[in-house]
Amino acid sequence: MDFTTSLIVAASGMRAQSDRMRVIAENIANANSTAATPGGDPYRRKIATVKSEFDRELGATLVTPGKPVADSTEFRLQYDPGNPNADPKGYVKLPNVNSLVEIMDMREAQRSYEADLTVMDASKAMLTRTVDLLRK
Amino acid sequence: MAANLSDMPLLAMLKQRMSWLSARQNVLAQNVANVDTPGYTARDLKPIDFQDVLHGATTDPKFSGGLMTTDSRHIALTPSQSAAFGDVASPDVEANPSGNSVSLEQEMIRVSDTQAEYQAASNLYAKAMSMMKTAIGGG
Repeated sequence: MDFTTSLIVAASGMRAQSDRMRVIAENIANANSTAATPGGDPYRRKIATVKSEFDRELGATLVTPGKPVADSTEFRLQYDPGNPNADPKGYVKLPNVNSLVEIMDMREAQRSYEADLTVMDASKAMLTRTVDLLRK
Repeated sequence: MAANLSDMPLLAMLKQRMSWLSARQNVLAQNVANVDTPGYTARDLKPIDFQDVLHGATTDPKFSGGLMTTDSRHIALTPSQSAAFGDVASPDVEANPSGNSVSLEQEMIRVSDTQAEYQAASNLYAKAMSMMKTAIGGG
């Protein structure tokens, strides 16, 4: 049945977006996580990836969440000699997480998720419509 | 004479229309799901040509394009539905820097368009069936 395929494809998109949302939540939650040892590296921002994959059995292109990759940009440095994790010069390394960027990403994931949901609703309505032909 | 309902020209045309719309919905679902996949190109189905359908419906009762059976031992061959509708890269979208050319707004318009047209086709189908019932005195 073709509409079931549409539903499965939309569901795969929603799964990928919610996986992305999880990575964004990790980043935001760890925006201030410093290193466990003095002078060590703090939390490094992760970037969620998605890739498309052709499902031969279904005959459609599904989306699968890929492995999150580490963001290689520089850590922020803050002068805070009183911090137990400060290096000998008194600087603390803070994660390379920018909450503005994370919130932008979050809105994008949310928008894509809603679009998938709309497609799912439309497919379901069309499927119901077909079944309703039996009642007439 | 064994009359098959789906051999009636009107119902057969509606059936083809509905199969096309459902195949299109499938392609649109793939576009929307891949909205963040780098390098993905948006696709759409080729519109069906009304002249072709009408010609097929009025001249050949088995207009689905399959082989005619002239003997009871022949096996009818109909092409698979997904192979029948070719899909093309959708032309009016520009790719973003990651190489993805899906425009969410455009896709949403297409989805609601497809849904409305499907509703129209299924209403016509129901109407044709109720007229048939009237004709046989059952409705």
